[in-house]
Amino acid sequence: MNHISNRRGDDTRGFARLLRWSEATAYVVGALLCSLFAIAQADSAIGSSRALEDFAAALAPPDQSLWAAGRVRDYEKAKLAPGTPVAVLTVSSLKLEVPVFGQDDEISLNRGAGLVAGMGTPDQGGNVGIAGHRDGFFRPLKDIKIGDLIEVRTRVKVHRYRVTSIDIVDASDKRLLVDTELPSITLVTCYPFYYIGNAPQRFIVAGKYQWSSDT
Amino acid sequence: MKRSTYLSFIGATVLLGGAATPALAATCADAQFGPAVLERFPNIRLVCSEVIEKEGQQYAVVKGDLVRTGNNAVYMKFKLADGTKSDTRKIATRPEFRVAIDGKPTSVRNLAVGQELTAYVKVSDPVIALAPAEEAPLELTPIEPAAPMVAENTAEMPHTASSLPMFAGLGALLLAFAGMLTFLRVRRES
Repeated sequence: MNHISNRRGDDTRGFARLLRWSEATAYVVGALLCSLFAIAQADSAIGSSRALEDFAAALAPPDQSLWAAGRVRDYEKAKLAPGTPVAVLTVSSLKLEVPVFGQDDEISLNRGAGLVAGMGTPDQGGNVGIAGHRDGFFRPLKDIKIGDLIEVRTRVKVHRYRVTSIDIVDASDKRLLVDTELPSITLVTCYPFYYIGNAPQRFIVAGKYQWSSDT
Repeated sequence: MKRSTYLSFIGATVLLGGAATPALAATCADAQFGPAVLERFPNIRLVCSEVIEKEGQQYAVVKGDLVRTGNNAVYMKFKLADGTKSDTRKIATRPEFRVAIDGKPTSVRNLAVGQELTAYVKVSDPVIALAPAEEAPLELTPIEPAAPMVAENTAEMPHTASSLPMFAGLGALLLAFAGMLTFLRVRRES
């Protein structure tokens, strides 16, 4: 009888230990995950604002008229280094201002928007692809309208585009990313805008270059 | 004496006039464009803004907007007299070649879409050159048929979904679960 009672007592103590261990683990992992999110949010806010400041400071390019060709090439490479914004995207109607980085990796998209690899760039022309997180900087795009003005300020020029179409496509549909003869812009983000996990669709905003936009 | 002076004046006028004729550049309307130029650039008269002389040759000055750069070339649309734009034209050039932008020498690699550029088309031969920033020999390149540049699509749909909100949600659930366990444990122990 005592033997059974001792065994029950051992089981209860074992279960209590397991619960305590689960409790501690849940606190630690939960706190880690929340901290990760908080750090990423802080990095997003600080990184974005610093990138905008860096870009504003770099707007006055150095006089390269006496530079050697190799030095100019090195300077151009340095401008494209990771972490350096290549442009600033503004949609005044949405009060959206976001730095645009040269790549669309996770860190860049956390701090702003990124140029889509394999598509054009604002200064070189073609179809310029810019991607952003739908739960971050590109969430205001849900309110964009045809005819809205998109402005992309590079170190050389301010490019203006007029929104011509808004589409929702499957995540594997690349048709709207094709190159165009005349300069154009394509903003890409996930859809639906409010969705937990990997959204199955993409929200695509296409814009046509405005030739009368010289600064 | 008076007659000889008069004749001398006429002679000098004729001579000077004859010598000045080539210097008085033709206009876009009456420039004698070579057949090959007209074949490769049929609307050259419509995009020509003036005809100038350079290095002893006549050149039609054409202005246009930069549409694209890359592959050691610039792609331009020239402005027609009626305000419309021509087909896209390619001008091969070195990336280090410098053109004048707002009076400053700017290398081709630093040009941006939408900038206005000037080019020279040789009146007699089907060659074209970007106007250099400094007084330098023209870098003439054959006029290629109008051809828009459209690159093959190599872009993949970007991953614009972040896992961070999911992490935050999971973290909050775990903290709530841990809090519930603490509550139950404290209640049981007391």
